Amino acid sequence: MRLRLLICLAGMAICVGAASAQTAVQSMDELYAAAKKEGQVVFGGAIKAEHVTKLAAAFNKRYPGIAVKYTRRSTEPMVQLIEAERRANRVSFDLLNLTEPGDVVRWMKQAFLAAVPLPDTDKMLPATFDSNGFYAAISVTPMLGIYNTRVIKPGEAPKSLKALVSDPKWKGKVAISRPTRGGTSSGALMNVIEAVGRDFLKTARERDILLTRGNEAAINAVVSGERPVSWGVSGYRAIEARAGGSPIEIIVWEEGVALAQFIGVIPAKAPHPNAARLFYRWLMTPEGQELLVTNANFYSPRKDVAVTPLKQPPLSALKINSFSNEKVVGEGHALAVEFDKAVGL
Amino acid sequence: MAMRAAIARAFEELRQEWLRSIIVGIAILIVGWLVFYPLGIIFEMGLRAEGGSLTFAHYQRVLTEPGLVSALVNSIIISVATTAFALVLALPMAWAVARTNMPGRQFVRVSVLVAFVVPNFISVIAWILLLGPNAGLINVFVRETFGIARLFNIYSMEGLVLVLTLSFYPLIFFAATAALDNMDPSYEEAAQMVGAPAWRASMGIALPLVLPAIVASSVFVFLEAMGAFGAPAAIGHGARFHTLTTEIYELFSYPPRFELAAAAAAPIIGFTILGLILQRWVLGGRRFNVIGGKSSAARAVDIGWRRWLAFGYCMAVIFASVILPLLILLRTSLLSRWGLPISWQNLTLKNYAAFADTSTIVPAALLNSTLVSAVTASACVVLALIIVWIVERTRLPGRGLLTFTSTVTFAFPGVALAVGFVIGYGGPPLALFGTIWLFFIAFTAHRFPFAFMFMRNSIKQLSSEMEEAARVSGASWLRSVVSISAPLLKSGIVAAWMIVFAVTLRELSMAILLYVPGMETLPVAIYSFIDNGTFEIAAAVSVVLILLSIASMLILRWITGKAQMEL
Amino acid sequence: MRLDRLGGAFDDAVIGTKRHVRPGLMAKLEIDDVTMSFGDVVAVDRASLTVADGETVVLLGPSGCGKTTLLRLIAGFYRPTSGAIRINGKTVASPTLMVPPEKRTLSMVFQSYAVWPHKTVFENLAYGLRLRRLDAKTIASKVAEALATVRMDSYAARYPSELSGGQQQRVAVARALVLEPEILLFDEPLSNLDASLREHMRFEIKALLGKLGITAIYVTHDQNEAMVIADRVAVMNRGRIEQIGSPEDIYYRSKTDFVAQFIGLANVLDGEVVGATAPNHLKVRVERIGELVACATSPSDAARAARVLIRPEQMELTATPKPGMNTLKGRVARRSFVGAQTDYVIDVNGVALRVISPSRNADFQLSQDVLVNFAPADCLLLGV
Repeated sequence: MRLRLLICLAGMAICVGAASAQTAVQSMDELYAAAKKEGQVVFGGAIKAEHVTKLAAAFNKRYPGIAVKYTRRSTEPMVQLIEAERRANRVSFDLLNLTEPGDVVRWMKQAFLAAVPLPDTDKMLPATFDSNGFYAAISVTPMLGIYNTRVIKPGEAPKSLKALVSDPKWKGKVAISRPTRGGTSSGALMNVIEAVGRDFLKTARERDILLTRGNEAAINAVVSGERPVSWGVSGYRAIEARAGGSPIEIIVWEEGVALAQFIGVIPAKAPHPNAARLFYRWLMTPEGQELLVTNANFYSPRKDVAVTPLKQPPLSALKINSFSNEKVVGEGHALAVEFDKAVGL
Repeated sequence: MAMRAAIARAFEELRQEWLRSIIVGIAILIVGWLVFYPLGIIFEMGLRAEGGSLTFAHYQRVLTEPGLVSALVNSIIISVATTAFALVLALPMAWAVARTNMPGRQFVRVSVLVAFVVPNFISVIAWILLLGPNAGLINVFVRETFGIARLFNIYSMEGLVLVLTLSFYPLIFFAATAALDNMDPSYEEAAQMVGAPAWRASMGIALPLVLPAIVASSVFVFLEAMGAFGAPAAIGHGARFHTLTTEIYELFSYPPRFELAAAAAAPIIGFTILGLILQRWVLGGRRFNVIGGKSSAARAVDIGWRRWLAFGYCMAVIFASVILPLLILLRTSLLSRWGLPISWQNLTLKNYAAFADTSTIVPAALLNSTLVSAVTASACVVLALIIVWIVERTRLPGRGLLTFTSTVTFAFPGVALAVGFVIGYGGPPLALFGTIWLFFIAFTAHRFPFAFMFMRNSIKQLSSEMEEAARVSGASWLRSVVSISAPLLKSGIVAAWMIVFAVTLRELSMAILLYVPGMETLPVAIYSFIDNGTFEIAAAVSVVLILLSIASMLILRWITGKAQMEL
Repeated sequence: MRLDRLGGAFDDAVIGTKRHVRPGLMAKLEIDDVTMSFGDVVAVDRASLTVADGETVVLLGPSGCGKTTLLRLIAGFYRPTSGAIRINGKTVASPTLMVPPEKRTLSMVFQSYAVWPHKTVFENLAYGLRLRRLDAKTIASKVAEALATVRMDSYAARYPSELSGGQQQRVAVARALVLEPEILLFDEPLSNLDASLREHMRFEIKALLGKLGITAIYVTHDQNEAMVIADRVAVMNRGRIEQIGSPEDIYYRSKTDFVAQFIGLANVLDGEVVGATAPNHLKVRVERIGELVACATSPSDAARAARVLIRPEQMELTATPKPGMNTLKGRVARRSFVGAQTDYVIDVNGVALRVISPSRNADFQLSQDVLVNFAPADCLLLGV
């Protein structure tokens, strides 16, 4: 076991070394020239197809001749698909957009990913990119608290995580996406633990928290009133649900909220490597970022993009607790497993 | 010339025999392979250490690791409780329907069939919507009317037992009514002669006589509860407990722990085999009616005013198991947000539009489900025709084993069997995982018994002389089967096809482990929507699935007035 | 003991058969020492039978005697465990060789008729002809001819479900005939018909077979049916052929206890040979009855222990003795008037004898003393 770990680490070191050797940032013109020959980029992610169509139109205006082929899948099935392809020794995607840091970090260690350094990481939020360029958040969204406005009057909603997890009033009132479910959910748990301390795990079982599979289900549990509060769900979904007429209101915890990342990666063996890089780099420009924010209701990881989704307050106005992907994968996952055990699963 | 004719004739004979032997041989090999390969894989995998050496470590972990142990214990508790409650629910109904003059007996029979058609992964949606601790419609009503916090919390072990009981009691009902229908009424009359009141005579005499059927169907319910996946997954998660099937599912999610999953599947398979042995033992040489059967002309017992009591009871069970869940599903499928009260703004048909929306998995799932079910049904029927022919028409040694092999997967929990298929076909030389072929193979293995039992029933009713008459008229064996037996068995074949189609259409517990993105079936789609908490679309897809299932059951009944399946 | 006795009967059967092949007629079908076992159960036990061209042989026996198995062996549905079956001198079945039924140039009428319900009467008949690749015109004329033979010509377009049992029966016969088989097999074809129709059909089949001159093997458990239809009857018991002979032969010259009891009514008495009065006339002492003069069919019958058969209708009841006959003194123990005949049970010193006499001959009352007379020629010594 220990030996295997050592081998693994050694392999990682070699990969990282190899990657940093070619960190030179290519110019967009060079990339475009090469990308035109490839003619297309195969993109996969969880963004709605209609939003990607708009993005692609803007991209093609600037860089004609490169078709954007998009497949929409949420992260878990997307990862399954990629793994199935890998078993068959096939790579069909050029660019992927995932919410699961665990898979991204694993793929990086397995040398499945290409290093594509970005020129202006200094303008990005901390912990939203890999220093070697293996990945960067294409968009981010805060893991916002929500409550049901039919069940809880606005003045009575909890304000702090501390109160939420210790006040008897909220016992049996909380629904969350099961933390072992994925990075966004374990990030939200980490945020809670950092705010209230590990002792919470001891009482977690008594709190009678409803666990759902995924953020959408947690929001639905709150919307239906099955549990009137959640300590953290994907912000963009919450914003969209509220805009869509669901009786929910948003809580930004006094202790701060976690930030979920929609991570962009390019497989090392991507069939259209240059087009992939060109599209990815363009998505990360202020132009691409603004389009993403206005269309898909994400926040931008770039500090220099002022526009916010659905006129929400800017991230700078929220208290954001940033966790690096490595931290979410390591500590966050361990916490999630512990939490599972603590509540009896 | 004569010489050449003789040689040609000898060759022809050889060919005749060969063709038949080859077809028979291949069919036996296929069935054996379908059943024993995945089982072998499960046991082998559970015994294999990382280096490939033999180990009992995985089995040991199943029995020692707290999570797995509690899952095993939970599964046993839930299965026992479900069986007990199903008996309590079904037996009075069966007796009232088969032996008394209760009004509405035919309605009860048909309604229970509908209850059977609604799979537990669908009825669980309805029950969550009805009995969710805070937002469940019944609990909300109780809270607002009586000020009681809640009537019942569906997110609990009891909640799961409730859903499974209402889902599986039809099995006991079918078996018990079939047995009571066929019972000679003179037994009861004799008891009345010695002075027992009519209803008491009936109860006292009937019960022991149908005991074998009851025990056999109870075993069946126990196994079904043990193997259920949809409802435990939907409830267990919220209530924070695992059953063996949900635990196996988790062991399969990334990174998969196949060895442990295989070891965890072993107890389920063990229970299944034990259960089947118990069933055989209890039944002796008798047959056990699983589905359908004729209604009797046996004399009904007049139970006086109590018939209204019985009627009320039956209606209550049917209301709870059929009408209420279906109404809730229909209602939910028409809402834009299920948590919101019903109003004109909240009413919509957009959930059904998912069937036309290619950005959702629903259209592909509908196509996949139809394709998989149709191919599975066809494969099962062709295979069943040959195997049943061997069993019923030849004196081949080992027919008993062949029959056993052909029926054993009947009670096998899909999740457990799927473990064998996923591992066994995961890599070269049989790398079929992720293709639709594995669906065909696995579903055929799992559902073949349905076709076998239906076909066996109909071939038994067909005199072998029909075929022989064709032989003496000059037809070869193959020709006699194709031009005489197959057309004459048409209704049996169609019935077998329809039943396999119907049960495959609603199969979740295997599909959930077999599917890869893009290969979702309707049940998997429903499950994913439940998973997301988007109950509206889940309900809409469920309504369509239930309608499809009811339609195939109706066609089945229409084709064969007395469609039935015996074990 | 029993087996030995049957063994003897079997040898006789073979001898009998050979004697009965009519000169000038070719052996169409030969069943040569055929045994068929299903696991431990021996269904047909070393059966031998030779059937001449144009001959009708009835296999007669109780259910489970192996007659249907033997027929199915001939048809080709089973492969014999040992022995051989030859048609026109060519072996069609042996443990190593198995010509499938469709290649045996024979045809069969089944117990359940097996008229295919999804085909019209015409299609039922045409099926086999089509397999022989005949042209449509020939098929139509052959079918019409065959239907006319069984007087079903106007039913060609009907489905079997529209026909009565008797009509289906005729269709089944026509379907077998239309193929012009060398051998026609009947497996209890009349057993599903009601009694009067059965009576009628057996004469019809007999006439048909006579008219067509076809070789036929006919299985039945009904001795009357057998007697009407058969040129020769083969009586089977426990897988063995006990006796083969003309209907008269097996009735009047039954060779075994089983045959005697199975065919018609029989008084069988156990006794002991004590001497001879003439070469074929033996003195047999029967306990409590005394000495009788019996007739032996072959010298081998001269054994110490013996069993005699007297048919009830071959005994005559009188008040005074008749010369040259065996005469026994008895008393009427039972008397049933059944029309033309009266059925008596006569108690002869504690032994009950069944006597059937024409009602007009004499009328004896219950408990009346009476003499039972029968000729030595009608007192047949059976093998023991």
